[in-house]
Amino acid sequence: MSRIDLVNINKKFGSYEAIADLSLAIDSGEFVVFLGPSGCGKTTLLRMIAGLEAVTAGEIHIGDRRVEHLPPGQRGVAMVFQSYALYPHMTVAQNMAFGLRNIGTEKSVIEAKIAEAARILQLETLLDRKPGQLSGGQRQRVAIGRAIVKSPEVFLFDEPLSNLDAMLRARTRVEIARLHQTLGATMVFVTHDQIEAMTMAQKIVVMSNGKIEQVGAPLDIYRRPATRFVASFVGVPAMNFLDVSNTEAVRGKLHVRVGETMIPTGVPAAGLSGPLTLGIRPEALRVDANGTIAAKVDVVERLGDKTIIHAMLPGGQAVVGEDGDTSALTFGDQVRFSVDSARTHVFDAAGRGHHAEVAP
Amino acid sequence: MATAGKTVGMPLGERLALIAVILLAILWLLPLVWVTGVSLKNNTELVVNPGAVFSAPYTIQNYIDLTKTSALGTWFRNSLIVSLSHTVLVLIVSCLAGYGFARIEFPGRNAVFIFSLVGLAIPGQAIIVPLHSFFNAFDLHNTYAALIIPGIATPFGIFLMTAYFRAIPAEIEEAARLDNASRFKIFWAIALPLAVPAMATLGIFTFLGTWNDYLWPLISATRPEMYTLTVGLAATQTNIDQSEGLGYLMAQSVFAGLPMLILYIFFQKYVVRAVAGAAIR
Repeated sequence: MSRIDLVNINKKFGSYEAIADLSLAIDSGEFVVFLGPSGCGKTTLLRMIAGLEAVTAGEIHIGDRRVEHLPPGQRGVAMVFQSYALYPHMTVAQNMAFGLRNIGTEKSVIEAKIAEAARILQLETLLDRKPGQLSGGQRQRVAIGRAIVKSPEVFLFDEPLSNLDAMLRARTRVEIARLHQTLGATMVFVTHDQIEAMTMAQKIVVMSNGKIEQVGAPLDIYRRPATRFVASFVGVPAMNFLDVSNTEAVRGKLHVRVGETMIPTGVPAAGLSGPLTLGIRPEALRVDANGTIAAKVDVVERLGDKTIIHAMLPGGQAVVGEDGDTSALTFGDQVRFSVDSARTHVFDAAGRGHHAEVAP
Repeated sequence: MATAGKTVGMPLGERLALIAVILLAILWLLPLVWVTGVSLKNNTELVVNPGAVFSAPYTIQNYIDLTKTSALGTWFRNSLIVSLSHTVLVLIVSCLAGYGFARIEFPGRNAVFIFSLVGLAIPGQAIIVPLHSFFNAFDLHNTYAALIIPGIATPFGIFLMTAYFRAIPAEIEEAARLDNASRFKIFWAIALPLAVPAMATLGIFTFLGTWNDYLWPLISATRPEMYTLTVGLAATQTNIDQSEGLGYLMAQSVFAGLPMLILYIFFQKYVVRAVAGAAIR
């Protein structure tokens, strides 16, 4: 396992700049997730680390080696593709052996490595089958096995769970996380699914328009989003953003007016001015008969353990809040929400996030 | 019974289509049945009554006589050498060119590709004279080289293989690059095995075309020992006195067609797929 250092990486496709002056350090043995919407540059960045895409400018270091000029096979990386990219005409064992044969590995060593990977991934009974005879989940495991046998310095995953159904995706998430614990290898995982990112990553790199928006631990990203983009992209249902018409400082904390309602926040008032937006996650906006925010119920989603309430403020702005699992609210009901001021966020005109001082 | 079972509940339109297809198949088969029937008849009987083909007695004497004609064996061997060699060379050139056009970026790639496809619009007959002059200049007429080399860079083959290689997901080759495979290794161990259906299609059609080719061998091979089967049989059949008899001539035709029949039996799947246009997918 090795650390990865990306230094001032730039990637252009013709005149289009896909990645702009990006620098990032990934520690040895770390599980890092590149998270962002389609077209944000996360897959391009992964492919540049793999060597499948040339960098326009900048340096890539894997361990002690500078690798941006090396071909993919010499970078010490293994990659699991979204479509698995197994060799259809080869058996599972041949798929796993192909890379090792190409570097002249002895037959006995190849067999031992395949046996070990097959044991870890429970592929022992499938070694003589061809990819066409396997289910999606089995193909996924073979693709991971093909990566494992190479004992790479870095594992790269390009949205490997996208083609799996919901149940299998959840199970494979756990298997990959377990694999990381077992191997202790450096892993870089690309996804647009924030649940995958939150559940698997030690560090999340949130990207947008070819730039890094924020790098941090999953809960940091969730609780203290650096920008409005991060706040909107991470979290389901998404954070509520309410336009602030006026502000007051009360004992050093910012109180903001939304429509006719003054809402206290835990955000320090110092230095905040200009057009502001209040950010409240749905779980910080609870149904409460004594709450300060009045709204009319629009849609009710009953999830079993809780109820998601979609409602409209008098000014016509939509908000999403939460109620208990036995909520009796239905369409058209009047409802009141209370705001957990310790879990509020304020975004300035530049989109920068300011957070309540003590976020739970 | 199985077929009968499948037609039960079949919509009327499909039944009519099935009947039409069966009738067409019979129509197509009739000449083949006629030729085979004639080849199994006594020549004297055929002269008296040409319609005797559908009634006994039958004989294999014409086929026994075939074995006594040394020229037919030579022509058969020539056809086999020419068809096999030409097919192999067409496959090599088409696969290399197709892979290059599909996967390797080089300046002017699209222009060269389009230029190579222009050949599709040029009829073979139009280049017969320059082709003849070319091989004449090198004194290669009446050699295997002259019969084999023309047309090994076939625009159709290049087009077919380019389309097929393009259809192979790029991620599979990228995985091979990460597996430390060289460009040639990727071509040889990954792309080529995946292109077997297209290669089979191209190979079968090329073999059939070369085996049945008549015009170029007629022009290039002027010595009987260099005749291919088509040229040799035609030379025999244009013999005015038909001294060897109609049954014998038909036996020659059946014999000449046997390799095609065998080829079809073994590669039926690829032939059908090619005709249906599925080889591209």
